Formats: sequence, structure tokens, C-alpha cells
Amino acid sequence: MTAPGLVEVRDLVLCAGGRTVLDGVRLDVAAGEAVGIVGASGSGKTTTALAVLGHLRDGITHVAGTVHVAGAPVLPGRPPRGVGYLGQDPGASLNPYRTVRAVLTAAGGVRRDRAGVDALLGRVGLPAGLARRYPHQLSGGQQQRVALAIALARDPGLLVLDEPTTGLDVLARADVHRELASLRAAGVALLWIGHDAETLAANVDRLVTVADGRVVASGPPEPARFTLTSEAAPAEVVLAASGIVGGYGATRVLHGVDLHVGAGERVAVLGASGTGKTTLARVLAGLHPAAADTVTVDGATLHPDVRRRTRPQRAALQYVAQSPSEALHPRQPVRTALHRPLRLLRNLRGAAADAEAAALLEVVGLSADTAGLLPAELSGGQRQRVSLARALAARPRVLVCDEVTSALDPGTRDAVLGLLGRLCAQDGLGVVLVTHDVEVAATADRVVVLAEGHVVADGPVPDVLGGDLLPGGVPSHLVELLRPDVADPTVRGTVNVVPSRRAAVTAPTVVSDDSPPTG
Amino acid sequence: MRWPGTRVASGVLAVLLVVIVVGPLVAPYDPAAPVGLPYEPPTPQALLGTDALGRDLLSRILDGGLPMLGTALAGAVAGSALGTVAGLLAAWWDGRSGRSRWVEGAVLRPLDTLAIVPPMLLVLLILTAFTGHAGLVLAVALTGVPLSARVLRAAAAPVVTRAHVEAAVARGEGPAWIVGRELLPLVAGPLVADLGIRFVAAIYVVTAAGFLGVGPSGTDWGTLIVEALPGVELAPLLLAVPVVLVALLAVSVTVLADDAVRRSRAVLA
Repeated sequence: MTAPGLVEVRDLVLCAGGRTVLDGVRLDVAAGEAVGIVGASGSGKTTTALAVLGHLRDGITHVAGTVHVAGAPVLPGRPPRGVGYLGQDPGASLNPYRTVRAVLTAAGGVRRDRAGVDALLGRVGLPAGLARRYPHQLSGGQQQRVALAIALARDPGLLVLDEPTTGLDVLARADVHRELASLRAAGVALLWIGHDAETLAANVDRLVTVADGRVVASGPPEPARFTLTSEAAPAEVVLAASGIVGGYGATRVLHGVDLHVGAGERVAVLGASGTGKTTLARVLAGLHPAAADTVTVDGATLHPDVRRRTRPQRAALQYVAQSPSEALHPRQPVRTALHRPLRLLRNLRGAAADAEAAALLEVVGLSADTAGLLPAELSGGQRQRVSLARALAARPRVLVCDEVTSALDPGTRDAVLGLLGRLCAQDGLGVVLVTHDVEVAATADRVVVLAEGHVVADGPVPDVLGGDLLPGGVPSHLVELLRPDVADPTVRGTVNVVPSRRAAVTAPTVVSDDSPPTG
Repeated sequence: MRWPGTRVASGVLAVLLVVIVVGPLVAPYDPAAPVGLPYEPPTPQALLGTDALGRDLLSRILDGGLPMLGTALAGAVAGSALGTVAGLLAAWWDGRSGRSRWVEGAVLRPLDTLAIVPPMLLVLLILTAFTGHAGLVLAVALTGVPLSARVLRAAAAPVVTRAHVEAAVARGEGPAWIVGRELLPLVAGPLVADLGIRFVAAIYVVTAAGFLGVGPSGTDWGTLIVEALPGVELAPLLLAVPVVLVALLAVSVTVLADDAVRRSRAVLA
């Protein structure tokens, strides 16, 4: 702020119907600086932002004070040059009857050619193929990013953002945040209005708190809590998989999936059916041939085919299959199921194997008598425990569990999940928990969301799942997140009509309680 | 043994097997030597009467069972074994690779070609090249292989992708364990059932070969049937006894084979 300020708001007083909305606001934004404005609803933060754009809402009058942007006065009614604006609702800023290309071609009052439109889309991280679509054929995050592209069309030195991610699902939010962060890195100044200091903290240099039309605090933001907890514990990585591409015949199911698991970490791979979760688990286990993959356990690269892996490598990564009724041989007793891996992977036989098998059964909460039983004599939960014990018999570093709880009733499911949690905590076992169940994913440490063979979200449970899990309920944003058409359209053959629940031609302007019109 | 038919079939088959196996030893007369007048009705000397040349029917029945049974059994077992190998190979490679079904193309397609040749034509063709017992066994085996392979491939296909088989592969079990302990116990039901059907088909083929004059022995039951035809009005027993015996053998084996399928389903369900 030693440099001449890009934005200088001095003692701005705005009134609406006799009530003072802004009471002597003073605000500076330096070139290239990112400033966040937070405050409760009705505190005047949106009014401040609009004032910077030289706009006063209906009924608001300018009483006193000045606003200069890049040295030029903007109030009243003199819109500044070189300022872009991105509002809350992308639906309101996109013409439903015009394609993205048509909108962007003319955006910012300058006609640009095809390459210019593609470059603009590229700046907001959207593929050029999206240009052919109408707004309703885009997901919420894509719509918002197109709106951002429109704002960028004038090559602004300053972007005013009015809660740009409110109403977007976690995935879209992450997309928009990413693009804004890259703009910030490129030197575009941001004036970012939000209601949530945590969200803003990671994205701005300075946070200004507004209350009752006054600036009550200004300073560097407190670091966000969620991101800290996730990154403060960089556990030793036991499983690292990168660039997994795989499918069935000509059909690609996985398009370059990356996954890493730390020691003692439970990573849930969450996705709707048909998103490639099971294929991913099987590729990791070396049971499914991948077109491309690199899987390392403890730094050692594993062969894509489990049969070509060395004995310690086979032991280090164990796979637990989905169906407990298929996972065990119907004609082999539990003892055989446990003895074989002990013999093949740990060279234990006879009495030593018997003792170890009994110990394993105890670990998974089964009595030693279970060893003599056939799978048909066990319940589903018991079978799944035997299946886990069989995998644990190899003393693995990583356990890849494919929907291990989907066939179990809630009580048994919780018991099995609790068992996995204990194993992680006690033995430093890394667990990949493939699931379609949000409640199961919520028991993990980190969630990787898979949609159409892409990782669309990867983060600590509270970040991805929102933390407001109701029993049996799915957070609404997660529905969006898992919806297949959120995924990158470039990888799918057809770009054109993708049915979307956002198909309403004019998206109604939702007024959230966080930012009602002042007055 | 829920169904009484199984019990009955077991009893009938046991009696038939005893008769067939010990028959040549207890036959009262030389099956080739005349013991009385042609077409004699049953007498205390010839319990089932005599044939066109005055030979004792009972002795001929007892003498001819074993060569027929042996040929049919050898052919059926050989055909079923070859079919099992082919079917398991196809199921294993094509079911696990997830890619093109090239083993099916390489192994099962040629067998399909074999299956479209009528069995009797195949028998006659092979017997032209290899005369005698071995030729007949080979012919019977070859008529069974394509169908056995198909049945076993279908039975093994859902088994090879079962999680416990994959677990065995993943922990590094050798082929002997995987085939012998993981796969075969679960396809044993269909395998036994298929063997039963192949055996019945083999009896038909061997009987038919006898009918056509290329049977395994001069007294096999097919030969007896064709020999009985000219004098069937005079001595209906000559025709009835071998026909009924062939039918009993076929039906009892079929019933037991069905039961094997039923029990194997109970294991997998």
C-alpha cells in the first residue's frame, strides 16, 4: 500500500431512505493485492463493492466521501475502466439463448476471434469445446467460470467478486477458487466479498471486516483451520498411484487418476456407481490390466499384474473384495483361508500358522473356533471379518477395501469400519476405502471423489463432505459433486447436449440470507 | 437325496453295473455257440430264449455289456476331460484378461466345427481311419469334446472371477492349487453332470456303431438289437431286452447327473 492505491475509498457515506448504509468507509486496494471484505448480512459489504464499480443500487444516495479507482473518481455514476465484476449468480449474467462462444466473442465491448475466445476460456480453466454450449448445458461451476471469463474480457487490473462461490457445490467452488488464485498470482487485484473468513483466508492478502457500515478490523487473515489440519500431518506416504488410465476394451473408465495414502491414513474413494471406483481398486491390486499406471508402495514400483509382483510386494498391498459371499471359497474352512496367505506370503505353517490364524481372528473380533467353520456357517459380517483377517494375514502396508461394507447391515458396517480405524491407528496401516456411501466416507481421514473416472475432489473429510452430515442424509452439494455431468467434458466424446438439472432457461435469482439487498 | 428318483436310479445303475461287469464270468454258455433251435422262447435252459442262430440270449447280453460299457465310459471320460481342459482354459484366459476372447476363438471355434458334424458320420469317418476299439473310443470322445467344453466354459466363467479365486492369484498360488482347489470344486457339479450326459451319449454312439456293424464286439447290445430285428415277430424278447437295458442305463445315469447339478447349485448359492 506504499504504491499509489488502485482503489481508494475515503470516508464514504451512503444512505438509503434515511438510514445510513455506509458510515465513513475507508478502503484501499493496492495493485495486485487481494483484499477480502467480510461481514454479517446487511453490514454494507456488497454496497461497498458496488460503490467501487461506480454503481449505487436503487434508493441508495451518495452523501459524502470519494471513491477513486486508478486515480480517477468513479462516484457518482462514472464506471471505472479496467475493473471486472463477478457476482453471485452466474445464471443472471449469462444469456440463456446465446452460446458461450457468442457471449465471449462480444464480451467487454471488443469483438474477438475464435482463438481469442479459446484463450479466454483457457484463462478460467475451461476447455475450448465448451464454447459450443448454452449456459444450461454447463454445470454451476462452469457457468460461474464463464461469467469470470466475461469479467476478464476487459483485461481488468481489478476484479470485484461478490460472493462468487455462494450456491456452488464443493467441486465447482474448488474450480472457481483455483482460477481466482491463478488470476491473483498473475497480478490481478481482487476485492473479494464473502461471509466466511475461513474461505477467504486462503485467498486474500488482507481481510477487512465490515460491521454496521464501518470498517471495524483490517489485517492479514488468520490461516484457515481446515487446510492446516490436513497439511500439518504429512504422514509418510505408503501408497502412491499416479496417472491410472484403464478401462474395459475400448471403453475408458479411468482417465489419469492420482491417489496417495499415508501410513495410518484412511482415504475414502467416493463416487457414484459407474465412476470407476472398483476398477481403480482392482488396478491398484494388480487384478485389472491398466492402460497406464504407476503404483508404488513404500517407494517400490509395483508391476501392474499382481502375478509379476514380488512376494513382499504382494504382501504389502492387500485387496479386500466387495462381496463377502464371493470372497471366501464355499468349500474351504476359515482355517484354510487364513493359512494359505500365511504360508505363501509369510512362510508360516503348522502350529505357527495356527497360532497366527487365531491371533488374526482375535484382531477382527472373531473367536478361535471360527477357524473350523465353512463360510456358509458364518454371517455376512463374520465373513467380511474373515476376509479382512485373510488380507491382514499378509501383514500389509496398505489395505484396498472395495465396498467392504455395502453388503452389511448398519450395525455390522459400523463395527467393520471401527475395526479398520483401529488397525490404522495401531499399526499404521494405510487404508483405501472405496465406497459409494457418504456415511462410510465420512469415517475416513481424507476423501477422494471420483466422477466419470476423474478425481474431482481430494481433501480432508470436513472440507469435502461439508461436515454437516446427517445420518442417512447426503449433503446437497455432494449430489452435484457426484453427478456425472460435472466432469470435464473434453474427455467425453460428445460435447453437445448434456442433460443437466440446471436446465432451467433462466435461473431464478436466489437471494441468500447472507447478502440481501441493503435497506 | 431329496428326490426318491435319485435313490431308484442309484439302485438300478448299481445292479446294471454288477450285471455288466461280472456278466462275462457268469454267462452260462459260450455266446457264440448255438445251444438250441433258432428263436426258442424262454426255457429253463435258455432263460431269455435263443436268437436266429440258436445262441443263448442271456449269455450274449452278459458277454456284450462290458465291451460296450468300457468303450462308452472310456470315450465319455476322455471327451469330458478334454472338454474340461478346453473349457477351463477358455474361461480362465478370456474371463480374466478382460480383453478379446482369443482363447475362445482359438480353442472353442475348432471344436464347434467338430460339433456340427453328425456324430455317426464322425464315427464312421474315424473308424475308416482307425479300425478297432481305439478308433471307437476316439470317435466317442470327439463327439463329446465340443459340448463338454461349452458346458465347462459356461460353468467356470462365473467362478474364475470370484473374489476368492482372485485372492488366490494375488497371494501367488500355483496353477495346481488354483485349478484343483479353487476352480474344480466349484465346477465339479456341472462337470459330473456333463460326464453323465456324455456317457449316455456315448452309449448311444457305441450302440449305434454296433447297429451299423462296427461295434466294439460281436455281442455288444447294439449288435444284439440289429440282429433281433429280422425275427422280432417270432422272439420279441430278443429286441426288448437289449433295448430296455440300454434305456435303463441311460435313464439312471441321466437322473444321477441331474442330481449332481442340483447339489452343486446348492453349494454356490
